[in-house]
Amino acid sequence: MSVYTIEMKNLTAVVLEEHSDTVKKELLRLGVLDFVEVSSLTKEHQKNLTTGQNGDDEKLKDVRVQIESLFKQMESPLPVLHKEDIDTCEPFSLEPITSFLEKIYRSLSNLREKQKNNTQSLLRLHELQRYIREKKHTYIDIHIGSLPSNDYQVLNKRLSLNANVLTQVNDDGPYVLLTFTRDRSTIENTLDTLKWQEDVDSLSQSEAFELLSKTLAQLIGENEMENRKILDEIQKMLGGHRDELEGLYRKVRLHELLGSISSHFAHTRNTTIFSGWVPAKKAEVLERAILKASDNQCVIEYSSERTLNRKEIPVALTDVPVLRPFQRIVNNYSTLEYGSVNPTIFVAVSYLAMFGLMFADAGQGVVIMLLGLWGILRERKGRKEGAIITFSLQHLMVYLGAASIVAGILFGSYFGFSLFPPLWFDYHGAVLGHSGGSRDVYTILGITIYFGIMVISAGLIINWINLIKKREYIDLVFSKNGILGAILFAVGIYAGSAFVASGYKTFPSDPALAYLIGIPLILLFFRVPIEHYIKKKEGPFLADSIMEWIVISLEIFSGYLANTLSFMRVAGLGIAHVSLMAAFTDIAALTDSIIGKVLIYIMGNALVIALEGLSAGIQSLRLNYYEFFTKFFVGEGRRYRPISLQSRD
Amino acid sequence: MSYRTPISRYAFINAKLQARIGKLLPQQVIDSLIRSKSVEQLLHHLEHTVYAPLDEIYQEFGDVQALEAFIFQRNITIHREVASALDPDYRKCIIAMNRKAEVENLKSMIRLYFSNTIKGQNIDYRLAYLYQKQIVDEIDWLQIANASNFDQVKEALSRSIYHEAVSGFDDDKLRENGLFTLEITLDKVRVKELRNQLQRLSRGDRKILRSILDRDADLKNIINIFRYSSSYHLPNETLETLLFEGGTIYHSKELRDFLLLEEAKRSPFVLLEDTYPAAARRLKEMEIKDLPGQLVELENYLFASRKEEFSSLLRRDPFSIGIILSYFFLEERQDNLVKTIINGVHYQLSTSRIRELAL
Repeated sequence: MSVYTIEMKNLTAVVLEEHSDTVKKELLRLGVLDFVEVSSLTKEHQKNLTTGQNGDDEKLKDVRVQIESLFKQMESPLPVLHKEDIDTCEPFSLEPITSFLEKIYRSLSNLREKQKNNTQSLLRLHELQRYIREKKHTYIDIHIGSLPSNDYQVLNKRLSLNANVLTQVNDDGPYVLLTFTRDRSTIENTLDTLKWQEDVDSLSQSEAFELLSKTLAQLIGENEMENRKILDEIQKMLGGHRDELEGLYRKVRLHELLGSISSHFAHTRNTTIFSGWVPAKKAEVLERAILKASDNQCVIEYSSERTLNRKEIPVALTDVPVLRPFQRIVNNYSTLEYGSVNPTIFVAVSYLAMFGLMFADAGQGVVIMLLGLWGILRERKGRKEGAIITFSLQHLMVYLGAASIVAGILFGSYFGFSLFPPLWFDYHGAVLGHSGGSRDVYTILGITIYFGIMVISAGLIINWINLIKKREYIDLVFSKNGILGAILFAVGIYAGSAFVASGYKTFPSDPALAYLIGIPLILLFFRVPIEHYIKKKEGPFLADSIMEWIVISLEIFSGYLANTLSFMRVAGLGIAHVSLMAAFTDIAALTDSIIGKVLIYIMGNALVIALEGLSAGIQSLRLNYYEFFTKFFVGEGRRYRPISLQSRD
Repeated sequence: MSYRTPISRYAFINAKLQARIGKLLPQQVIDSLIRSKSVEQLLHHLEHTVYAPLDEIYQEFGDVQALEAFIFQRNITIHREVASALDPDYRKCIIAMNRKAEVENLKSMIRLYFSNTIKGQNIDYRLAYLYQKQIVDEIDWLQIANASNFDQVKEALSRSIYHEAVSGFDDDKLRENGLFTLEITLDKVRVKELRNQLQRLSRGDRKILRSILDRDADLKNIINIFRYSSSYHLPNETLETLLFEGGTIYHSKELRDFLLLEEAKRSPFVLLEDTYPAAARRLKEMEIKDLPGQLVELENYLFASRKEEFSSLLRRDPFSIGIILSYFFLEERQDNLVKTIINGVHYQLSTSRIRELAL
């Protein structure tokens, strides 16, 4: 694993126009080049260049999205593109594909129309059912009777435009008709025309409602079944085209990707020029591939990354699978500047340590870990995307659970009980004042403060390494997070520690301290003049020097103090965790029932896991982002995005 | 009225709404929606947006009306969410803004009643797609849709602020004049209520909201004056009852002069020369001779200037009601856009026609 961002090389190649298609395919097959516009050429040369963009790109994208939405209807994942597909990729016309898709969409539209009609019938039935269920009888009419002609088919047909339920009481009994009151005039006209004879005495109102409720439930069930059938029909229809759709998707997507590569190509009459960033380790493979694809008739040049602006160089980080959840935390903050130290491993250590200190309970840690593992298993069994708890978070939960288990064993806490003696010290006892040893709340506060100092110091060291790499020596010495700032921070730590050691009575009176504070402070004043001198800036700088000196001095004194004390929240949450568990123990003691006690413990633990777990997770994140990252993180990078078979929009 | 500083009042809601404004559909997505060949494709483009649930709804019902119902409901929820993040006086004002949805729903319900009872048409399943829960006031929606006479509609509105306003209407009046007078009356009640609620706001916020309401009143008054005087030939007395209070037009001398003119001599220039000189100038420049053409252009101009006003609110003081008004405007505009495009794609209109209708 590289400590820094992955080293990149800028490759520019010129190939003969006749080889451009083969080269394009090779570039896609390798999928390692993050293209840039060919801008390093002189304006004179640029006049003779034409770009590779064409109007088919949008059409290809539209067709691809049409196919993708069909896969979505089938609830199927999109076909995966393989390197072999590139070999069989030939030019094609979009027309037959679009007419094929039109045909599918027409069939789909017909089925949707059928589904819509079915839905509307269902809505009518639901409304009738609702009025019966909610006893809104003024909105419905019930007719009990029969037709002398027995022509119920005609009656059904005539009533079909209005919501209705027509059912017979028994095989030879009267019919019961349910309609909306609002349709009364139409219904009564129809009934009069067909000479319907009312026979209200043959059935009581409650019997009629019971019969109608049953019939409605049955009709609704049939309707829902019909809807499912239509959905099955849609699946069957689309499934029947699956192979063709998969083939088309591959073809269209490949051409879209090749088109995307082409759009970064510039052409002269006989040559094609392209440029992009490639990880240094893969440059040789790429070079060989371009040479082979162009029959060795090409020119390849590399530009030194040092001559280019760091912000323009894409940033890639070494992918370490076990560290992915922490990598995600870093990526969510921002994209690192090229060439900086990759802080993922530090984040992993500090995040887990912070969480462990805030949530030190082996039993609850096991629960968190199991929840994470359960989520991972569910995800692997094909759970739908878009859930609140993401795959990455589930992995993180496994780690956090492990951190809690370790911390719980160190501090002897298992679901709030001291089941085993602690390996380090009794955290619960220290908080609740019955540890019997020399540890108390102040011990915990002290531990977290020292932990904070270590995190901040790590941030400062990373910052110095980055600055040395960038050769920004003025910032290395004179900035808030530079060496002078760090000296003042160290003096502050020393003075603070001595103050605590004296029982919060006196600060150390060592005369060397005055020098250690005074000299860096005086030196900080020279930042602006030195900058003016080195960068050969003109104009007055005294006012700037004073202003900058005041600001940086205030930042150092107040900033470092606030940053360090901020880590007391780790102790705060740890103490709150213990207090909550103690509170539930006290509540449980109020009942004599064993079941009651168990229930209180279960509820207490569940509440603590949900609330404290979330709280500790967020606070750890906050401390990493605001106290650690701010010491070194320059988020001005551009993410490395090569065009490859795995590229998404 | 409890005192809170603008920063304490708006810090949270401002951040929340700015984030949501940042998530509005970009033009690129709108273009993709317009180019869609099917509703399925369109919904696929909305996959990672606030409209993502539409896809599941369409899969379940296969009916675009169900999608419109969801979008309508979303608008109500948005207002409620914003209201819940504010202090009581402001909450009441936002709730009063939610009456816009309430009145739209009420109009739809009354249209069902009108179609069914007055016109004798079958309203079929249409009630199912309308919102049937409480929005602001307690209204018996089912009673309205199922009413057999207008008195039952009035009864259904007896616990709402609309009761008094509808009491002057009956079946005969509706049969004779149609629904537009009633609909404008309901809108006027809504706006009046909002104007009452704005008294609770701070002076700065009052000013902003009043200016928006005045602009809206002018926009509606100008449109109504021409629409109902030239197309429906309504007498002045009726015309005046349709006007919204507030704005530049309502109390203007130009309006009195305009109403004194014979119908044939009524031109937008008479009304706009002093009240909206920029609009009058634009109409002159465009040299549109016929009144319908002038009205279309005028509507476009007024809607564009309304849009510009909301955009400028976003650029001004972030700790004011401006952010909320702009957010509601942008969300509503986006909802209408999405609804229009869904219908356009469903009915297979050409891309250019959908673009024309949507933008």
